[in-house]
Amino acid sequence: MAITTSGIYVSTMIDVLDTTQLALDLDLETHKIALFDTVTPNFSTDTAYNVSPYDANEITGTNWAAGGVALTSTAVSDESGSLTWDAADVSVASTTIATDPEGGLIYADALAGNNAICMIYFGVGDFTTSNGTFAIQWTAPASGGIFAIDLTP
Amino acid sequence: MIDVDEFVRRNLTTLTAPLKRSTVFGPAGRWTRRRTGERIIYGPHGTPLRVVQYVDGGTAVEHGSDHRSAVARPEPLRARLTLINQ
Repeated sequence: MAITTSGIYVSTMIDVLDTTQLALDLDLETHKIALFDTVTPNFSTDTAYNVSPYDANEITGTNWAAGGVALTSTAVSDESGSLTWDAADVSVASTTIATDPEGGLIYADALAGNNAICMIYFGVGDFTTSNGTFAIQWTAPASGGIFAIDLTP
Repeated sequence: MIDVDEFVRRNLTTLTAPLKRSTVFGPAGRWTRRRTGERIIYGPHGTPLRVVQYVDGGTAVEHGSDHRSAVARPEPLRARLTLINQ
């Protein structure tokens, strides 16, 4: 079991668009990214942080607490017909993260349900740290940001 | 100014005295390798934690850091709405 790809959680998007009218505001500065390994995301059925499978195998360490860190400078924009979500790069100094994270779950910490937004697969590499900076660098919005949904027919 | 060679030689068995960062000792995670091969590892506040394979004498000739950082550069997540022509 492993994280091998990035994806958007369908159940959350359904709740946004159907009569549930889940108030997912991607401009908020309160969405968090939490680190995981050895989980297998199911983008159709997974629902939230702290709900299976995200109630286990979370990676924490010095200066990286359970629940993860907030994404700041979030912005939703139209990039040539693609709905694009971007944020400032994540950079946390003086971390010791001994277990290699495979990816990060971005979830709506401000919502009572901690609804899952997307899983970001970090790719191949060693992302452990020892009293060093743990960083996640997003691409520029024009290149896709955190995620981009091409709405152009 | 404390001479690192003299300090280590005199305090080989009692490396517990805290030192100021402004001395030759660095912050936690940094190390010094001496010409004779031993490696001095520093703890918080510049306190030497231990000496590995100490051989008397020698001069500090190499410096480094055990700090390790990581940068994840994930590919942007791309999704596409597919419209089927009627």
